[in-house]
Amino acid sequence: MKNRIYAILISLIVCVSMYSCKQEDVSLFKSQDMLYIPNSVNENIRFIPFYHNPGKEQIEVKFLVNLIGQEQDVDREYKIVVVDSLTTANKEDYELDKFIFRKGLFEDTLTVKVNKTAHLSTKLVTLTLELVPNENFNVAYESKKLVEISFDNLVSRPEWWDSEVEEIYLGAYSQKKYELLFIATGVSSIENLEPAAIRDVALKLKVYISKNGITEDGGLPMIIPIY
Amino acid sequence: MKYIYKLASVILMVISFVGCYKDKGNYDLRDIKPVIIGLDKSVKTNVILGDSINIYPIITYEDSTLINDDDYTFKWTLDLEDKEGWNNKNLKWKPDILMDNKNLTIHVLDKKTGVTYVRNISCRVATVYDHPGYLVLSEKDGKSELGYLTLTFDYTSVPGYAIIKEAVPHTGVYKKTNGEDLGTGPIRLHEHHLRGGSVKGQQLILQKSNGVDVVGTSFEKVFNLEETFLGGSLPQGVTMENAMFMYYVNILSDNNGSLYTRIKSTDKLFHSNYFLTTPISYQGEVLTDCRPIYSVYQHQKFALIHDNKNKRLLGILDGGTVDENKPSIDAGKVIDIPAMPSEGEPVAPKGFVPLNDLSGYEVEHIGFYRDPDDYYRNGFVMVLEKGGEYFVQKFSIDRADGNILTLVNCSFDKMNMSGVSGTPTKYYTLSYVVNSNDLLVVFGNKLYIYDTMNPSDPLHLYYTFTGNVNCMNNDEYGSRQIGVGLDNGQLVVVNVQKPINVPDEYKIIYETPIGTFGNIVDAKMRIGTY
Repeated sequence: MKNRIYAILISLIVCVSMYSCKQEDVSLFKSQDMLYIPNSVNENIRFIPFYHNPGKEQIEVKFLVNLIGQEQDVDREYKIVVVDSLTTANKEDYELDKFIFRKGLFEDTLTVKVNKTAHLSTKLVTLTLELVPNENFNVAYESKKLVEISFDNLVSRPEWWDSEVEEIYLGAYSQKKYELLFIATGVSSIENLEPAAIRDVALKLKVYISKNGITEDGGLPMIIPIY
Repeated sequence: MKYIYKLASVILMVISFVGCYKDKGNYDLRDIKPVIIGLDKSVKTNVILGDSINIYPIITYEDSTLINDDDYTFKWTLDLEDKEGWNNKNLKWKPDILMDNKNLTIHVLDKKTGVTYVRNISCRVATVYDHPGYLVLSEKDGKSELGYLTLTFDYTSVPGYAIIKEAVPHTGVYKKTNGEDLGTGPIRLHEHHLRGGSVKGQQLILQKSNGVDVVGTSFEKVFNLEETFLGGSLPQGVTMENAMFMYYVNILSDNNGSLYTRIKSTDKLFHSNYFLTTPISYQGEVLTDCRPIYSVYQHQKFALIHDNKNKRLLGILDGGTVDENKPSIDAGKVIDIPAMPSEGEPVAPKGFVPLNDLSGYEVEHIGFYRDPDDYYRNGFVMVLEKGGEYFVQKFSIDRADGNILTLVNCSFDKMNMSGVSGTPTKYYTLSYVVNSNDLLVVFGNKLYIYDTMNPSDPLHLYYTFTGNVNCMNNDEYGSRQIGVGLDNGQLVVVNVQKPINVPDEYKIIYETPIGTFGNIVDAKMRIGTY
């Protein structure tokens, strides 16, 4: 009986040993290049107020697209689709061209054109786009494949018209004053201007208001506090 | 009993163990002999750049016996920073940079005890120009030149009079300092200041070719004037000819009399923010044919503007806030100057020309002085001409009540120029003389004192110069000295004393040789700090 057990054990050991000796081909790692859209600081989300970009009928919105893989010496197309469930914009509100990841780059730009259409004066719309796989690229991260553009042409106070701008430079915000700012100076935003340049813009507006006898709606004086 | 032995044995054992502890006490005591580091009273550490600082310390024990140098090591530091080679007892150093209020420290280390003794001495390295005196802007060989006359006064040798102990004229100081020509077409000097502190004012030099701002004590170039404009260039085709820089609001006027302003973000820097190239407007009209009137501004916080086009006086507010280091909301605001004293104030005398309507009169001069009734109030002297007759009109502007300006101490008199032929060529108001009623009037090369309080016999010849007077300046509080710049290059420092019949040697404090500075167009006593 004991001999039998030894024999079975020896046989098993031999079989296992033989199995472990089976040779397999070494497979090479070959993966498709991948893209992703950075979103760590919300750089995949934009708000475009046409009202604060006077004179513009179309605005190009740009996002970064990054490559994981090998740079190539040919341009390669990647695929972007509209996410209908997350989009309220009409088709005429935007234009999507071919999306090309240019040769020799590890980082390229995704450009979307949004149009100032009539209905934007009454509501804010959203366009959500998704990076999807195609024959050239896979998607690197599920969490980094969307871009979102909200845009409108609604009348609103620009964010840079804050309490300091109100107190020192431009006075209280009104839609009429804001529209005059562009008409009188050609400037629609004082963001990133140095103080002397803001003063220059404000004084030009002040002179324009004075020369043309402009008042706020209702006849109240349109006050620009800076001298 | 056995217990006692046992107990005693245990105690003895414990004590024995304690006795095994190593005694780490330090019984190698030595007496420290404190040393005293003495410095010769004649040691000179306030020097001119180029001079040497030599310090020979006298180091003794408390009993005044000299130390043995071999027992010590020595080191000098500058603001506690080591310097290469500064490890001798005596310091022999030729500074190569300007410095103010730095500390030289000698460190004396007792090798035996490891104790270090130190002694500080402050030092200052200045330029030869960091000394009271007059700046002189002149034209020589077709070029602008900046000169400086350093003066050391003696106020005690002759009671009641200032005499000069030492005077040194320095010519071409801008080129010597900066290695380049200043420019051409010299026009004016303007000293501007920071609020408080000890930093001396900078000098703005206005000329046709360009404006240049220089450090007040070294004349090193700080800026070309165009660099202070938004965009880096002056308005097209104009020359800046006049300036009035207050703590927050700086004003320039061009050759058309347009005014340009800059609102500084702080009164702690000479330059911050930019001038705008757009001239300022008032009541919808761009101001032209205007010029700022120089005056003090610390208390009244506005600059007077003569609007010759509209025949009126205006003001521009400095808008400074004392508590906060920033301009107030009204900085740069153009304001009306009251035409007449307000109700409740003494009425203006007959003939007083309203300050909002000077039409019919040519304004020959506007100078400022300290109102005798209120040191913080600016008084102004106007000389008006109408049909060949001259009038002197005085008024003070009170701004004690916030933004409400009132006119006080108004006077108006026809000037009595009898006995003098020709027309006056220059006027000057003694700005800093308390209770001065004297106006200086120049006819060519003759300086007259016009006593506004003595209308029957006001005009008296004080001195006749070797050349025509181009400029006069006195910017020292309480001083009756004026620097007089002549077209022959001579700068004369005059003591404008009363009575006027004092000997000439007491009238003229100092005069440079003729031709020293070229054709002098402006001269200013350096104020220093505000």
